[in-house]
Amino acid sequence: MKFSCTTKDIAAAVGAASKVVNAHTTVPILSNVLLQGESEKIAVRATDLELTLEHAFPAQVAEGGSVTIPAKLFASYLGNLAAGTLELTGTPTRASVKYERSNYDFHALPADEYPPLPAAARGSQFGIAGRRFRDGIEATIFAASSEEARGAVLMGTLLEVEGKSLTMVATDGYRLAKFATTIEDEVSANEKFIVPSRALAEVARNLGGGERIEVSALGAQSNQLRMTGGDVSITVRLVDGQYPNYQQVIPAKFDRSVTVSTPALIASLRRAELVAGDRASMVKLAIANQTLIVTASSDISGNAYEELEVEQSGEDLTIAFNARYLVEILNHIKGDKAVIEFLGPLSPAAIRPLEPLETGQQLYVLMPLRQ
Amino acid sequence: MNELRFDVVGAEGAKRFFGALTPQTLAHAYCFTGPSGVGKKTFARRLAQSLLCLAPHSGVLGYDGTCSSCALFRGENARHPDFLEHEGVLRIGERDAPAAFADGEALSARDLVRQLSMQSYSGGMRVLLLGDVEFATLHAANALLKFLEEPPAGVVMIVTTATPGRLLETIRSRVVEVRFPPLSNADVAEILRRMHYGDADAQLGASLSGGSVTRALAALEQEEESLRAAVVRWFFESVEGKSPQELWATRETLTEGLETIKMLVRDWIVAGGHDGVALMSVDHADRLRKLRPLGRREAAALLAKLDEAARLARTNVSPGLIGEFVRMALTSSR
Repeated sequence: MKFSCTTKDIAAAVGAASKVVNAHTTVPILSNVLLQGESEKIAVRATDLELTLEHAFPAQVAEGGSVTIPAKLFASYLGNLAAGTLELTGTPTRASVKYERSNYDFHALPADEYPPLPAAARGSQFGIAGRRFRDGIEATIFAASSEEARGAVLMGTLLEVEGKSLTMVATDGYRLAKFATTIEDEVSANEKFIVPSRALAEVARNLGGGERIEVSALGAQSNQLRMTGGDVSITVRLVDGQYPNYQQVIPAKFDRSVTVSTPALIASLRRAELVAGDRASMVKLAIANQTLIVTASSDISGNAYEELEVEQSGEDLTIAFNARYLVEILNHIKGDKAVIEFLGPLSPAAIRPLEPLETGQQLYVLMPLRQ
Repeated sequence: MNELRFDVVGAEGAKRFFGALTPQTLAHAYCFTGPSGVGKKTFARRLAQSLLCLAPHSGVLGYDGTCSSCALFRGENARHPDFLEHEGVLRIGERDAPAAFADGEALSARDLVRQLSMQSYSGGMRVLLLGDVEFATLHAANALLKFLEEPPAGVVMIVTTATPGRLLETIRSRVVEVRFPPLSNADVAEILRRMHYGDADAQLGASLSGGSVTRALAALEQEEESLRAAVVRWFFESVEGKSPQELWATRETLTEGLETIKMLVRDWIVAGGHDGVALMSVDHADRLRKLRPLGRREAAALLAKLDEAARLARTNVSPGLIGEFVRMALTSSR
């Protein structure tokens, strides 16, 4: 292959892609980035076999083809070039770079030994507004489990596509986050993908600013999910398994609710949690007479008592939660007011913003603690 | 379309066994057992290549060697993303270690469980090879047991071991055992020729191999030969009741040296009255035949002590002490 391009374009693409390379890999070719040239573009790809990042940039391609170059070395070299144009010639064993009056040869490895991505699965493709997807990711992935012992399924986030709707769900078994939004294309078959949450964080970071994100499944059994925004693609290996039936966790109806100022409740919970200490950060919420009383106590620290004015509907109730979980949920509620709905002191509570977001509907479910 | 091939010398039993299977009748886990150097891991790698080959298959064995999947088995720099290989001691790994694809030495039981919980990279099967597997802890073995109890679809695990008795019974009972007997001398010679040894060296290596390519290579390589020569001298001096001047047992040489002694003891037993059974150490046949024949009980006791020495070699007992333990066993059998 042979192409010329600006140092700025290639440095940005290789620098971004090389962040995916696993420094401890025992497979030499996975330490390299793959450069593929076609028409007027060069695509840079790096993978750790769980996450594949591709960045494309414009170039004058004199001769198509592929070359693989050690990622960290090449990224560092490019990072030290001043603005200008370079010319790269690649063979299966060598990549030669001409830049102004310098000439560098990098040892390459044969591109046909670089793991190819599987072909697109039939039918599983849709587009979504970048903002909707990014909001969905931000609203959900924090609720996924971070404990390996609970299994890879709960460490992932479920993407459920049906008709023109996309539902994203994450849970660790104690709390659940759900974000329902619409997609731009109607899919013919319903699909469920369990995506590792760390990969979705990368998507939000790299693709969230784009106008539209194309999502497509790759592989015979929809083994990988590719998300493309502009010149950047992230392909992620999906989790193998059955996601729990999350609908069962969400109570079908509630008999009481409060509407509360989100920042005020967050502040109260944070203060009360200090007193609750190590007792699972347990705080009690007592609702009566349009007032929410937040209390916490521990033998070591003492007692906490705070009153908040709320809009109450339904009977009075006292319920206990893990303050840290509740604060984390409230931190993800967009808007000043949150609605908390209850069914009883031992049933899961639902939390949602009073005013739905433009980009989708947030819903959180939190398991109460036994008092 | 290219013709499928399965390029493994020997292992006719295993070839027949897998040749009769289809992807639908393939089990989720196999244990290849047999002495070291008889081709268990080579067979497993070729089986993995066959299972991942993109050429149309009706059976299980065979690959075309040219598809993009086979290309990932050819080079030393590459690895098929759906073929995980680990050799030796499997550790449990760090809890909640950063998620990243791990392979080879770096692979831990926790990585393995996590990676097997992902879907296949390329859309086909996934193959896991644990070569000469040993588990650092019971937790590491239990992580594997979890896989065996609830095997994910489309995953085939192959464990190879020369000592199946050391695997947990709960693991052994959940895998299909496939035995690999020692190779014939002709097969060993053929493998050595393919490794670019000349005909004379191939024949010599095969005659010293005892059916093991590993042993043939050790006998042929100058460095290993010097260890073998040192161990042989030490053995005869010990058996003859002399105090060996040269000590050979170090952490690096212990396992290989004990194997050499075991082979010499085997030949000592055979030379003492098992007509028709070939000696493995043909280069020391005369000297072995001159030794006093060992009685059955003496032979059994000596072999038991060598097994004990091999067990100790896997612990942190000093190699020098283990060498002395073996010397005393040999001297008392004199």
